[in-house]
Amino acid sequence: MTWIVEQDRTWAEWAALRVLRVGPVPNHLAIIMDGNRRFARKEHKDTLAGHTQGFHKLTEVLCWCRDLGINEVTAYAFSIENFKRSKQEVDGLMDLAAEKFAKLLEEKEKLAKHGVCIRVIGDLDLLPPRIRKLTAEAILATRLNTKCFLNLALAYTSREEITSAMNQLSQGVDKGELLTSDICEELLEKCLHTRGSRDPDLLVRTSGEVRLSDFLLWQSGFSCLFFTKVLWPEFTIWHLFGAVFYYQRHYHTLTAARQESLALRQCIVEESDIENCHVKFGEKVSQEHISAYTSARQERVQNFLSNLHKIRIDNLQQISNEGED
Amino acid sequence: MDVLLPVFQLLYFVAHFLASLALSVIDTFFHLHRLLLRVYSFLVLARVPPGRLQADAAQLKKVPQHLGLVCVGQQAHHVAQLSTVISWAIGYGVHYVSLYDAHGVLKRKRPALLGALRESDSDVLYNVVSYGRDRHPDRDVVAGKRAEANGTTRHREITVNLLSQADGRSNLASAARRLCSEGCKITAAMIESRLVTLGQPDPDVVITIGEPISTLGFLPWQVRLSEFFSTPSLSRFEYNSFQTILRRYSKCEQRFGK
Repeated sequence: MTWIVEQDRTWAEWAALRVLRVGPVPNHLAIIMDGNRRFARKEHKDTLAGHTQGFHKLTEVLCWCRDLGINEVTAYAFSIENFKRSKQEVDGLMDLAAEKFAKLLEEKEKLAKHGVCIRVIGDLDLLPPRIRKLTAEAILATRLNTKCFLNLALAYTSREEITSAMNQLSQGVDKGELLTSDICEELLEKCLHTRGSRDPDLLVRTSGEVRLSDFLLWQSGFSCLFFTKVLWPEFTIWHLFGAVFYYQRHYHTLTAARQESLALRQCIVEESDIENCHVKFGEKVSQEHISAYTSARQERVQNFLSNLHKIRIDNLQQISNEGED
Repeated sequence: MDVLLPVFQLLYFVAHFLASLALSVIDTFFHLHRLLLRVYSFLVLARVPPGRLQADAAQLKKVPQHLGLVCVGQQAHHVAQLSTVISWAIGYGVHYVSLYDAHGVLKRKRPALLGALRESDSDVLYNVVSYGRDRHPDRDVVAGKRAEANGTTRHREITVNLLSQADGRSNLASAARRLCSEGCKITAAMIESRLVTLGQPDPDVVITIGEPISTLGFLPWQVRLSEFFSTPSLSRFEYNSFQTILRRYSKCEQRFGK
């Protein structure tokens, strides 16, 4: 089974697709792929068959998203909590992941042709070494593609993500790259595993559960949540159309709320800059002082972030070279 | 370049128009239904006898400890109706209620809310908490009507949090600021101890009042395992819908990753 599925649309699907594309379409779709095991039980297959079916569905959904014009998809593949499942199932899932990543590396050219960039978000250290190596290779191989993005959450929980982002900031402060007062929402956001990608506009969870289960807690703040009863392997293009239609109905409410939150965030940063200037230069602070302080802060933050990026890439390269020598 | 585009545009507007039409028909139906009930029963519909609440709650396998109410847009202005929802929640045995709206309308409406809670027909003490920009808690304790009447006995205390966007992501950012200045390894427990909901359980149920279902920035760290439900508006939010939501919650089975 390949990563790039190409399907022909029936005329009804094609028409619905064209109609939906008239209105706003989410840029970023987040999916919680729930219900693989229930599907397997229902079909009297073993659990792993359900998960394989689930992966196949994901590749199909990617194809639908390309047709709709959704250019970023984040999928919850494996949570840190899932390590608590039976050893047999965890091992099976890891084998499945290994197989798929190996396949991905084979299809490098095809992915480059479609411009698919694959990122893995989560705590890679928790993965078994061979999977870690494969994921690092996959990320490095596709990282220069910019047309569409697939973020796979592997060994991910949002709380772990936020905690590790704070630890990175704390290290930055210790090394003297950052000042404590430089820390703001935006900076914290850029240290998360999903750094650099937009917040999801639409979050779909299948199988009737109505929780986020520790998935993108920070990023989904202004996302439209769409819960559907269907099990993930039975998800069809019409369910996706339904979700997008629901999103379109509430597009304006959500965009307005998001804009306002960004304005508030900006306001807090400006106030903190002025306050810091007062602390530094006393009561008499001119506009020049403040703008000088702001640009100095921005430069510090920029340096810190580019260092962080470099460390990350080095780290991935190191992982992918492991075991070769 | 595309001859069919106008056709699809037309279809797009027709589809959304039909959906809106259907929803407003349902809306009107609900309004009429309510009106009829009022006329026939001469009851203030919102008031449900307290005995019934407890009896309904007893049928459920589990009830939430902490209920979150997220108000979208204008919904936060209906303070009296919010206090009715709080009284239902209390009847079911909820100990913590978080009221949220993104712009801090509820924080500004605090006096009105305190008044509505004082008027409410319940025998509990409300501990209303909100946090200002400097993170200092602002507390008020008000007693429901029946608690006022027999003031000597001890009463159940209910915490009502008034929250806005500042208590969500920016609370996490300011927690990061303070933790970084301490300069040691940061753990999840340390983050939790810096949040506004310190000492409270995470919300079990979050009801979005007004569509769509979205957290709108409500306590990102704490909603990890919350169940999300929604209701189209406060004026249509009646006891029956509340009961349905809590029933659905009590049937939900959480697997905690397993």
